[in-house]
Amino acid sequence: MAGESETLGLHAAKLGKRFSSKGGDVQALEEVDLEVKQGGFMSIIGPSGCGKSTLLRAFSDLVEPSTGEISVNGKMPAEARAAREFGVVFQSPNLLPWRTVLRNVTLPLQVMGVDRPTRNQTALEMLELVGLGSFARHHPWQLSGGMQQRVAIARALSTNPSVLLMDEPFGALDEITRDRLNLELMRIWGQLSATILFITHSITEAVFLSSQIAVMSSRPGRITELINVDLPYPRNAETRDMPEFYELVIEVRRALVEASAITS
Amino acid sequence: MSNTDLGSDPVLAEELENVPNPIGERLWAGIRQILVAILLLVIAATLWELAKLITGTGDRTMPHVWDILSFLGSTTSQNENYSWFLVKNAWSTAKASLIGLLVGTAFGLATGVSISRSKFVGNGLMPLIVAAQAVPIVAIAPALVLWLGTGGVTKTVITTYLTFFPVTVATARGIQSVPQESHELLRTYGASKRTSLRILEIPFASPLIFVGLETAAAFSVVGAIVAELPFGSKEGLGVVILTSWQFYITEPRALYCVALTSCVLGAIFVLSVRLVAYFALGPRSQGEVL
Repeated sequence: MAGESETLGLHAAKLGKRFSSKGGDVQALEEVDLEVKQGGFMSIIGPSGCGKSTLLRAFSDLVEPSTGEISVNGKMPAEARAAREFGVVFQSPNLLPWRTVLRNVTLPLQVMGVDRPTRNQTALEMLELVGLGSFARHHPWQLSGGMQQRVAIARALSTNPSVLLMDEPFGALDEITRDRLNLELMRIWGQLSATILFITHSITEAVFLSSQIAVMSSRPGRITELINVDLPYPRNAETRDMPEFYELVIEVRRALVEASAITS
Repeated sequence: MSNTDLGSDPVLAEELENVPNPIGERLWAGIRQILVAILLLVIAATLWELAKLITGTGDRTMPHVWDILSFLGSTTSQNENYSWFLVKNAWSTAKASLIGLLVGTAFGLATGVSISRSKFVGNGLMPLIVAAQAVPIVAIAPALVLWLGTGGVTKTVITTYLTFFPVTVATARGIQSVPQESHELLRTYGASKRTSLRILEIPFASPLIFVGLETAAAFSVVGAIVAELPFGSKEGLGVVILTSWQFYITEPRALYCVALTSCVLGAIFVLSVRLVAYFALGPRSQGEVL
């Protein structure tokens, strides 16, 4: 093992995952090498079913890799989970409808056994951070889809994780809401300096958010290309109008087409 | 908290969808339900009278509705008001029903959770439970009375037997319907099975559990009455039904009165469960079950 500082962030080496089913085995991931430096923002983009979610689930200890090594801040995913190193945001907000917005955000703290005043205070701070401080007493069904996903982000942040694993968090939202939440996420990331692994199938979203984009092909799921996004931070609405932004969008699209060609 | 807090943030105000006013709507829905229930009772009474009129059935077989109701004001041989006599016996039945309902609910919850937790337990236990439910309770009640006597124990056993089934099914089905992603959410927090049960599974399943409880509440009254039917019991609606049936030739109205009382007791039980659900579930007590 290398020194502590070198192992921070996310690491995967020769990661493989094979799912067995009646219809035959599926190689979801094959020889995936990945490194997200501490404080980095990596997006993974690829066609549906390319295994990008499986990769994220391996980091979040929801899927056991078949081969290879994987670490979160130098720890095995299970240890990292126990040490509250990461927070997960799923594609659906996944809020519990019988709990108020506040009590949804306190959920992970409640499981951890944090006392009520402390967890309420932390949750309120997180809700303020995502701009929903005045909705603490509402119920999820009273919020729009975009607001629900913000609550989910606040909930993932409530344990103060240094890594955020986001599985197509804005995939179900309309384009306008998605753009707005992309801006929000940039702002939050700027304040927290967390390491983020972000799954998406939107090219513009990936370019706008990331410092690096990994392009995946499917069956077997492999990383075919790694693209550095050298757009200056902090990024804002004007970033989307920069010529470099368009060039990167074209580059990622080309890489995606090539990755899909491998598949078919 | 109101939407006007958002004045400073037009973006959020735009994102906020119409928030309905559930309190007023639910109150009105409750009043409407009661009105519909009264209307249905009037219709039932009218149909009764119509059927009597058209078929020309005599007062002995089908007494008039008003005759039945007026009998509630008569006095018993013990010089007691008949309504009061019914209330006293209904109270005795209600106590037995409640104990059985509580014990049955506890059993049902425990069985439902075990079934949802383990396919092995579920596959083995479920057919047995279903088969047991198919045994007509009237058939085994006399045997139970012989074994356990005519006291409270028999009543409790029979009502428990009838009430635990709907609670079991509702609990198991409710917990099995928890979305996979919610389980995964709690897994990422490292939640134990017990924590998941308390924080996720039981709350998620509770609307369905309350539906099961409503059925169980009705069954509990039926169960207690059946337990009182075999000779030897001293009080309860079952006993009154039996004696009223014996004296039907001389006084048919008594049987209808006690039948009505049983209905009312059942309704009170079911509505009480609904009331508890209303406070326990909040907005989730109306509309979708899950």
